[in-house]
Amino acid sequence: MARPDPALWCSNVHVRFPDGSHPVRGVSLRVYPGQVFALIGESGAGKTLLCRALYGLQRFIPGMEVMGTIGGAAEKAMIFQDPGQFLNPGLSIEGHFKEFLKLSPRPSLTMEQLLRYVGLPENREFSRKKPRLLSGGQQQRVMIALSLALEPKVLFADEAVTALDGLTRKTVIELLRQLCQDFGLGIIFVTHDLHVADSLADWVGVMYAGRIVELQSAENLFTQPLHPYTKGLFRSHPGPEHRNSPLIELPGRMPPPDHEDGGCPFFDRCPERMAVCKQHLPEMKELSRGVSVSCHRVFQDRGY
Amino acid sequence: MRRLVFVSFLQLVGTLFIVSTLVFFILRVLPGDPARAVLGMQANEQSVQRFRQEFGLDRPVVIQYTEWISGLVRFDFGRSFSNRQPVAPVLGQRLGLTLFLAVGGMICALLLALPMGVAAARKPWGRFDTLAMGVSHGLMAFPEFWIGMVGILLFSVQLKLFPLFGTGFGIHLVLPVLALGLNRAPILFRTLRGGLIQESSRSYALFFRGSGVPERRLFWKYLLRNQLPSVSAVAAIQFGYLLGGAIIIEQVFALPGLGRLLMSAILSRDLPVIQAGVILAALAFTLVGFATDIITHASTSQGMTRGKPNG
Amino acid sequence: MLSEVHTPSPLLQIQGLSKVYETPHGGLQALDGVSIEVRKGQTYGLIGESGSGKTTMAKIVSGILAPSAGAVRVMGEEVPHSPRQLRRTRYFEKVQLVFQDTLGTLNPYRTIYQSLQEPLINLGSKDHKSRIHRVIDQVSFPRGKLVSRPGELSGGLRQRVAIARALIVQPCLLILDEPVASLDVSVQAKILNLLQELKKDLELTYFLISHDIDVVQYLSDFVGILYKGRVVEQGSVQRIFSSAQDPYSRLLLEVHSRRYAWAQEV
Ligand SMILES: Nc1ncnc2c1ncn2[C@@H]1O[C@H](COP(=O)(O)OP(=O)(O)O)[C@@H](O)[C@H]1O
Ligand code: SF4
Ligand SMILES: [Mg+2]
Repeated sequence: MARPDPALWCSNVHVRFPDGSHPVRGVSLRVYPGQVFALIGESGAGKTLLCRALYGLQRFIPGMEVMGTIGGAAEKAMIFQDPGQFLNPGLSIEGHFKEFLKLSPRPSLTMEQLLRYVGLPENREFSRKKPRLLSGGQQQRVMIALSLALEPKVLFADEAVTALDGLTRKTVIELLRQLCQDFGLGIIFVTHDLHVADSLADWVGVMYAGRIVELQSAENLFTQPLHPYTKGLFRSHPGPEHRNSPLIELPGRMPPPDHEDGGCPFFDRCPERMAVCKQHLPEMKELSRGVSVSCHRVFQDRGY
Repeated sequence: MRRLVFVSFLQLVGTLFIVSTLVFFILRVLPGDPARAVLGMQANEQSVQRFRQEFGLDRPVVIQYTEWISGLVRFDFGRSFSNRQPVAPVLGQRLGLTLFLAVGGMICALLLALPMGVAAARKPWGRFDTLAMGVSHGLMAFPEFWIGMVGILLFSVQLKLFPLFGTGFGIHLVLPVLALGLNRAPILFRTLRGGLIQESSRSYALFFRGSGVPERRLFWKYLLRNQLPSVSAVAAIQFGYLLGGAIIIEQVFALPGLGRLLMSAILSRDLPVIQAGVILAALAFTLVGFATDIITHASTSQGMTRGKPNG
Repeated sequence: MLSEVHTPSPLLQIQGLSKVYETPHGGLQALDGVSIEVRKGQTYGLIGESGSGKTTMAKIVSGILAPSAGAVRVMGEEVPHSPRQLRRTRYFEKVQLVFQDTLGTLNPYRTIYQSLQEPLINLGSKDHKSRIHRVIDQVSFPRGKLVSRPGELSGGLRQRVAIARALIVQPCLLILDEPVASLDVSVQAKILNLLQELKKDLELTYFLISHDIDVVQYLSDFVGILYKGRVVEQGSVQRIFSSAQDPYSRLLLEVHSRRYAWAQEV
């Protein structure tokens, strides 16, 4: 069965800044319509910058330089963590919608329809409010509705539910999954929260020091992680299994965004490292369909 | 808000009372006899006495003071020593010109500062911004009377574009208004530019830009609007300086404003006019102060609180 | 309950605690008749979403906010209600608070050493240097970084400082208000392990307040679920996580459940 064209794809994308930092180093990925691609990893891994580069925001970020090939649908929209910051504090909800509906190539939805779709009140009393009077969950819904006004084919979400509490978070996650189904939207979802990726993602890319080191379907990644870093993340995450035993810590820290490329960036922290790892940077290899990883140990074990 | 207005009003009344009391007694304590100053040294004792009687200067100071204060409450500023006309209408007429200069200067400054601020903030340290920052730096170094004099030399004497003198509210006021405006524009420009650059680095600006809002609309419609409260607060303070500047510029351009009236009143010891002028000045400055407070209060309570920039 | 008659009195005892905030729109009930007991050496984890009253709880128990009704006792003594009483009764020597926002609670202009010294000066104790060194060794904070300022440290190190500052007065009860929120998984693991070790080594008692169910489950012996100012259910961690009764707690725990069985060979 032929797959549909990706809603977003990129190949060998780099992000650099004039100060010598190189926070994204050769990332390739594909996001398909109707699916959620989650980028996970700890802070400073380069998730946000990769996401912004794929969106094309570098024009608005001083000094940010992007290289590589990026393709896919032109209709893009984005939502962020902390929507309170990303809405104009001086502008009413209605004012936001007026502006965003103007931006749509062919506005087919009204503010009322959008508000209803995301589960917000449609009355004037609500739409006249300024963003700060809304709860975090409501603000995020407003932001989602605004992005929908642009009728995107790809939605970029950066930590979009991180600031929300469990129950609200769940409803927003369900709303996002609904969007995928209803509009055939491809979503690229950045999060450092393994739980969020677990409940939302179809595909997961694990980022470490500017690279995707493992890319698998969510089910495979959570049940059979391959890369030592991914495994380390799971082992250090508290869960029911850990009741009476200490968490297994990952020693050390991620290299900074201006580190020199050499061997494997995870070498210093890796419990499975080998001699070859210190000298040679493992490349990203597709082991089987939809399973890619960059780790000498995995290559050796699997005979690559 | 209502509380603020009420407190402000009480402060206003208090300030005016203190100022009028102070100015009254200071003028009485100063050496020199107003009757002699008005009538001249050669005036005979009889006419001096008549003058004192006419203006009540022969009565005890405390009585004079209570009469003056009770007149004030009825907006009666007394009569001028020199031309024996009531002070209030003359003052009103002269105030008109001074206010015209100050308001004109403010409008001129805003017309310069707003577009320049937006243009500069769109590309910080770009070519236009660097130039505008340089020019504004230079302008700030020159006082308004200097700008006014250069203007006279250049446009009236050399180019003969503007008349040197005129009556009423005519074209001869263009240069003084321009001088005042040029003097006050840099500070407004800088406030706006800085505010806009900061506003433009806020997360919502990234969201709007990324969603396709054109730069021009983003700046004029959203960023500028959010910056208006702080710019208005600065403008209100600047208006106080403009009133002072107007009084000086009247001298340079020989315009019959409040400043010149006061100058001649001081020289001729025309006490009622001096008193009224000082009270008016105090009133103007207190009102400007309140306008600033109220604007600031309104803008902070409107939820225009600062957010952190994106990143 | 009969069986409890013979057990020693709890270290922390919260009885019928209520708090009503006065707002322009009338009273706002932040806590409503909360009763909790924590025994020495145990960890009690209070789970709640934002707005459920967690922070109010932490403030009242640490003595910086007065309750509207009810009582809080630590080792049988009533918790003071005002900063002045707090100083006079030296309550802070028994109970210390560890916050989430370490950047906001450490003075940005003082070095770590100065921040740690402050409680010792208040205490009038001598021998600052050796006490500071002992406590930062306990939390594995590098001695070389004592001269740094909070802004120069990573989130994990700042959290260690916050814990060290709480421990330096040798309290018996720590109130942990979201102690690992906003930390990365690998950093969080180190702090969680540290908290577990400290509890054992120093015989501490923890009152943990968090929205993070995994963290509460990992650290706690007893768990309570706070909803709109009420503890809707409490019990041993095993009981709550295997058979919660209250509809809200069940919903909360269910929403948190995992879609996939994460690979965590321990
Ligand atoms: N404007 C910038 N200039 C220089 N370095 C930056 C800039 N923005 C981000 N970085 C660096 O790039 C790295 C990756 O950042 P980011 O993409 O935000 O990571 P993540 O989203 O995974 O936490 C960080 O270490 C950050 O310090
Ligand atoms: S390449 Fe080597 S060092 Fe890197 S993760 Fe794999 S085993 Fe570890
Ligand atoms: Mg990020």
